[in-house]
Amino acid sequence: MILTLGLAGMALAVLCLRLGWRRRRGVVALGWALGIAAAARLTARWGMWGLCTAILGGIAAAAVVLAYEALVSPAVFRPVRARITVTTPRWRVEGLARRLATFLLVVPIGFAATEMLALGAETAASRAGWVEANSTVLALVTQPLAWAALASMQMITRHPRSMIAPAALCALAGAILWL
Amino acid sequence: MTRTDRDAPTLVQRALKGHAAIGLLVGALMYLVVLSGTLVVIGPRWDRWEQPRAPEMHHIAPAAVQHAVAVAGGAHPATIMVTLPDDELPRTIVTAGKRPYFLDASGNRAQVVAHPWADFLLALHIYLNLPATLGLVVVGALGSMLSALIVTGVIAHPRLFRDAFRLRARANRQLAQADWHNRLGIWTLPFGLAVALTGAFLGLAVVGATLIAKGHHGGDVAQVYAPIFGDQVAPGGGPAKIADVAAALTMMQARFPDVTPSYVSIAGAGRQEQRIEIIADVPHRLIYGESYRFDAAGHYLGKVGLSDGAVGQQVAASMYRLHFGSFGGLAVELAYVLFGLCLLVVTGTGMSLWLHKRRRRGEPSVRLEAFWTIIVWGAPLLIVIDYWIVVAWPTASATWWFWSLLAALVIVLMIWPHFAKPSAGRRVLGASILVTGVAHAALMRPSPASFALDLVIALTGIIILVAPGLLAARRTITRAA
Repeated sequence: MILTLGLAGMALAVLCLRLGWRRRRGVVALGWALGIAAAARLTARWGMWGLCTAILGGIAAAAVVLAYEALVSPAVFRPVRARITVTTPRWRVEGLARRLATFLLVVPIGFAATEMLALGAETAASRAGWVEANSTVLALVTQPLAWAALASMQMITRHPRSMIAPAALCALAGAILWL
Repeated sequence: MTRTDRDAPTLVQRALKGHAAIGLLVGALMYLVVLSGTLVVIGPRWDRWEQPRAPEMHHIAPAAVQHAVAVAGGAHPATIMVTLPDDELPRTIVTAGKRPYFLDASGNRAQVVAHPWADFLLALHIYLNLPATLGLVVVGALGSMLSALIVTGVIAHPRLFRDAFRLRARANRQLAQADWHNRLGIWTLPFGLAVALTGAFLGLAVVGATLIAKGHHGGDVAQVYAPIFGDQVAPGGGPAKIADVAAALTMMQARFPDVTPSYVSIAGAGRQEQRIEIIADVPHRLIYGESYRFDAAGHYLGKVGLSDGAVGQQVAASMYRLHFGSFGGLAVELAYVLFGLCLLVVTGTGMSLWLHKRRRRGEPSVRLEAFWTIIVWGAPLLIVIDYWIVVAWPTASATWWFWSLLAALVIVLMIWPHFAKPSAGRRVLGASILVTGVAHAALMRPSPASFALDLVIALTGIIILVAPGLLAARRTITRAA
């Protein structure tokens, strides 16, 4: 019963977001409140299982709404000239070095730097008295999370040179935690 | 403001550029991993579908399991493992050597497990068919890069809420693709992040664990995992009667009635120090199960603590089910398949948009466009063809055929890129899926569950064939009105 009500709450929340979208802020706020309340209730009852189920319910409701939007969307015959938002790289030799540097800084160096951070976190946690299961999993979770964050940060910098500092800081933080 | 400041790209532009660069780097491999991942969400159902005539049961008696392990123990394997039937895979499988085999409901040996195509799909998703450790690391790295794609994609989209439901599906191709890419990407963001990060964890853990093992345990990785999943020491001692699995299973039912045993293993089978381990599903939890341990006589020794031990144990044990969507029965599986398809569309349209933009700028990449057509339409088509290859030629390697045909297709269409037509690829794929569903139902005498899957397969083929046509027809009607 709680599960059914919770999932219904998530579906209703998405529906409110759609109904209030661009028009009624009150309905949008109601949608958010309903969604948070439903997710909180399912989480309180079943922990992470409840939260994941609530989120899946919300996404499924959104998928239905999007399918409806696709079905009723008006046909546009006139070619729409979208604003150019991506500068496509020209494949010239001088660009290759920059691309290679970007790859090296984001992939192998980024990986190594975040692995250092993860191992540093594991050492610090062990030293702080964490049980081995927790400190080990901390390291194993930190690495992919930190790598994703570092790569995101590096890829929005202006130049490959600016990618060095975040990776170096990451490795340095790991080294400090290690010591 | 100086000219340099004015010309400098904004945060949104930089995020878009970074998003495109990561997509270009990992797009093709990501597409293969997402495609195979979407399929393996219902992996056990593919096992049943590929090998339809194996004995099925919803429950097996402890005495039948005991009979099976006693027979298996005769060959003196180091470990005997028994996968117990459940709703998803109502089959009992014994692994006590190189070739796992099925049991009938009485615990007698039935045919050997043989679903090479389903195994290939799983290996494609987990390892990209590479050697195990390398494959895990590459796929794990793709998980982290997918997370970075999601983060840069969100930063690049300042109108996140304003465009939340804007979907111009009938606009021109580029605009429609951009809207599908952005809307599906945003609404499936929690799902995308969950599968990306859990996938990265599952893949990259091997590196972290190896480094921790070198630092603290003299290189013994088993010691790193022992505090999390329990120690896996191989018991020794002289020969002894095979462990009493029936007693352990009976005790489980009496002492832990709320959990459902899914897996039994005997480490050191037929040795004096042999030990029984039973993994049981805990309802309404993300963990893959709790591990209960028994001695050879079936006396309860204790549990590992995956369900209520250290937070680290519970987190690590939750990764697998959260990644594969096996924590809530068929409903969650179907949701994962649907959202996996959404992620596939996001991946496919991402590269297509980049290629469109190049073309519009007068810099078409004809060969890259052909390559992307092969990946988007050719890879799923080859997965379908692969199934029929292993049906016609059971000893053929599904992995070898898939990658060889993909490489051949890439080479041919890179030489003659004008033959790579997305619309033709879509039609051939749709037709091949439709034929596969119908032919499997007609030729393989499937069980009702597999027949239902045949119907879904045939319907999927029809949708791929007719959906764009329906959109075009509606467009014509709208124009006439």
